[in-house]
Amino acid sequence: MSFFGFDPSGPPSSGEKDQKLDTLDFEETYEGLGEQDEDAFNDETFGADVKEIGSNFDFTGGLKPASKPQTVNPNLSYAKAAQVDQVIAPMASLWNEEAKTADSASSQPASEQRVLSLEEIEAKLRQPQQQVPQMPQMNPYMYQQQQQLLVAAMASGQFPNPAAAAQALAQGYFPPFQPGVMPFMPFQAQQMMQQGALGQGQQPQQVQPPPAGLQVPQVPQVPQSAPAPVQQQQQQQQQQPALQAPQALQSPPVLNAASPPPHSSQPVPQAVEQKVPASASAPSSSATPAPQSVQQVGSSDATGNFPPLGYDEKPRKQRPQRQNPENLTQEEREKLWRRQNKVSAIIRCSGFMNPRDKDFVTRVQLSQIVTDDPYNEDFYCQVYRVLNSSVGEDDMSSIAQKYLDQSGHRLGGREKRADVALQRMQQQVSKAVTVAKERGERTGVLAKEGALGKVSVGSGKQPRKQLVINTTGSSDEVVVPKENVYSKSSRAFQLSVIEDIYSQVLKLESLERENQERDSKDLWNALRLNDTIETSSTVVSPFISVLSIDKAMKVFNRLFHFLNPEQKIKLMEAIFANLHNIDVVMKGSYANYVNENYEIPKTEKSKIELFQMTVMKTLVLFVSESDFQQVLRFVALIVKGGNNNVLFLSTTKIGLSLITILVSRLELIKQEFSAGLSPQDLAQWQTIYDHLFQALEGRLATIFPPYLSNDDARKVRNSESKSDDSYIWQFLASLSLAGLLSHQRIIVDEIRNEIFGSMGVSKALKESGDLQGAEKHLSNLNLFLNVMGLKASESDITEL
Amino acid sequence: MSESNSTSSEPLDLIRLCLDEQVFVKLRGSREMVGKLHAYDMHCNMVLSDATETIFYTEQDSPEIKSRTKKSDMVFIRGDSVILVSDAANV
Amino acid sequence: MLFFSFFKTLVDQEITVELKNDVEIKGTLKSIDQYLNLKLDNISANTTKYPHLIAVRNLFIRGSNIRYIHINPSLVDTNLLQDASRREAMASAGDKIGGK
Repeated sequence: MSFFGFDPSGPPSSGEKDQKLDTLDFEETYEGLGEQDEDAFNDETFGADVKEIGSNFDFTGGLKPASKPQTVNPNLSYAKAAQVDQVIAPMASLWNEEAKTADSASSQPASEQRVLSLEEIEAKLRQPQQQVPQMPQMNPYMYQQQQQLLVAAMASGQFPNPAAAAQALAQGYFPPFQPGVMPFMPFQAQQMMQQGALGQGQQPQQVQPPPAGLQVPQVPQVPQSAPAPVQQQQQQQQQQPALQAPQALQSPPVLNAASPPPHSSQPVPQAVEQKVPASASAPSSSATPAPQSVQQVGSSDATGNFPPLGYDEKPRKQRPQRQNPENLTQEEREKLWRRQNKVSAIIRCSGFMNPRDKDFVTRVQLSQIVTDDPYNEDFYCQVYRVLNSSVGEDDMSSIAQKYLDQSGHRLGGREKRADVALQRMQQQVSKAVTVAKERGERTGVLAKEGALGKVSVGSGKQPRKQLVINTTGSSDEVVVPKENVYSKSSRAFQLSVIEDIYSQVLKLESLERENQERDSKDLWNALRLNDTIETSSTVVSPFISVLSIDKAMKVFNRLFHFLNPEQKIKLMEAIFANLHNIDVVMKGSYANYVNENYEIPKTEKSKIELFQMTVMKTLVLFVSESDFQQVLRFVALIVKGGNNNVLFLSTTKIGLSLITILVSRLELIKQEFSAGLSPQDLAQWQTIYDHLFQALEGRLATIFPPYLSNDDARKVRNSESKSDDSYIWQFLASLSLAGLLSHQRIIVDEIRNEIFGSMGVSKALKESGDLQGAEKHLSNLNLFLNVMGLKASESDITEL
Repeated sequence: MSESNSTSSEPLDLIRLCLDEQVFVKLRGSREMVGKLHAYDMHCNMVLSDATETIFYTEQDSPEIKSRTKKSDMVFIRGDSVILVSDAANV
Repeated sequence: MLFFSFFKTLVDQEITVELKNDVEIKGTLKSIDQYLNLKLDNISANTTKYPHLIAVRNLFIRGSNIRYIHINPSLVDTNLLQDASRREAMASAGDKIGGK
């Protein structure tokens, strides 16, 4: 194949490229240059398989939005590019009547230039075949274009006869379509076109060869508004072919062979036709399809097999098949005509976005949702699925991946294309992630910074722009307006303390998940154990004051996990020393509800349960691993700690349970590891025990809430009477265990009525047939009695 | 210890304080909702549990404002309906 | 993305969507996007008021028309949801979670 008679033996205009041209295989030529073009998306845009489109010329390109940034010639200076404004000026006149008249004089020169440039293009195209060796010098335009081979190829393929095109333009062949065409397109699209035109339109102007006499006189005939659009269209076409260079390259040789003289009158209308339909396709109504639009369809449809249209006055030259339109039968023409009509209707609004534009939009969308930390972004879903393990979470490894899985089908519909597109998109995603990450690291947040502060850029996460006021100075010295500081007695303050803790815990948990080093200092500070707040009755640390709030209890185990041993002990000591000040503990005392029949409010009861399940569970676990001295200190804090009223604590379920746990732990260690205990330890424990016992002595019976009491003198019945009383017997058991015989006697003596009452209840239950209930009562009772070597039945107490 | 930890720098931080707490939400269309807050985002989308919705309405030819309530165990509220969010204890 | 993430866990579960025009539609959640647009299948609506929905079996709901979505509480892990909500709040406040 020869390209316009291009002489392969001629010296290459520039190294490697031209050597490739020597082969005259334009497919290969394109490939080599295509690589240089560095258009990573070219394949995707046109389909990896060029032949799929075949030798069809997409003149219309159906691709109106000529916004192809990549087509801008990098060799052009901005100054040169700016010159193109002149070319665009007539465009403005199209929209502005006043400007139209005012610019009439100036617009002509512009159009003149345009016409000349077209001719120039043609001349350049022809020159290669005649004067290959001189091409670099004689044809600077072509030379430049070679670096942009696509554009050059396009020019040759699509505008074999620019002069003719200009002529047709002059004849007013297509101007009538302009008014309809341009308004139809969205303004942005027009802008894009203009920009595209800028990129491409530079070259013709630069070349500025001596005007061909032929075109110049003809130009004035053209309506003033027309030239600019035409130019733009031409430029667009130049761009579009650039994208489709492979196809364009294929056909020119054929054309050349068919009609070597470019100046022949035939090519003229063709070029014009192609240009016009490109922009006219959208506006042309389906009801009255203009011939041009039909033609455009034919060309854009890439139906190279179809002969030219019968009614097309000017035969098409570019496609070999169309050289002889007369070959078509009328039936075939009818068929083609119908088909083209149909297609034109279908694609009327298609092609506003070419695949590249779509990719761009998709990338923007992706960049909105893409994240380098899918775990955090999709935290709930991922963790939920792990916890519920209903779905394997492997396929959910990344949002972007998921998104791609779904969107792949939308790209083109052709499987192959979708695959290619999918691969591209995956690459883009990884790129987008990297870019977003870098940007995030650079700025902290995605933001533009101005004098007033940062305007954050919208993203999927923060769709609205926000003004972030600059905070001067370091974060340590944040000046907080007074009204923003919660009063320390307010609930908002308590809640903010908890949320601060949560923030720290969540951070530490993330670090733990990533196996990174953790520092519990911030968390410890967030606990504010050293801070104090005044409540109505006493002064406590904020943490103690918030420990009764549900979400603080819920986070207790999680925060405790991250504290170092020293901090854990400090926290435990703070809690034991302040049991009395923990709301949930003290509000659990029946003594508060004398007037309510000792009925503890429901909300309090659920809080107590929550406390037992959360905080107490953690405390028990910790105590069960603490050594003797440590537990001893805890007991001492409860018994002798300034804030605690042991007697009152013993009327609470939580207080009583905690004492039980500590005392039984001490006794356990004492029995199992007595060898490891020093006499001082034991003596100290004895002292503390005496303290404890003295506090309770004489009022031991009060540890039984009236509603659980079986002492006829005390008992009250309410909804709680059926609840478990084992925690009381456990306390008594551990108290007896730690005490001497004298202590045990006192205990038994004080709760004698409860013991016999319980036996009585058991007996009654047994008689009523509730053997299980009877057994339960007895076993609870025996838990205590067994410590002293006694055993109770329904009727009497015996020694074991 | 500095006071800054106990401050709310942004309005949404106030809503965060109410997580796992009873909240009162005033909604467009003469509606109110009280429930325990489990989730929110910057659009004031929310998820409440054990929510009670109160709808206020008037009948024709009567100025009297009536109300009816609806319960929902778990409800997502779209943020664009939300007028205000408050700690239910304050209401 | 919190609620997008949240609703993803509810896919294939039955929910009741209350629209701003008081239409209530119960159906199986088939899909959700980041705008909280929904696709529902096997729907049933309060058709006495809106008989034109009788013949509709599945539909797409633009998220902006939604007032409430009622959910089966057994499908929601409230503690996890609260944590996710805190994470979201921290992330949008620029408070970095994790060491990455």
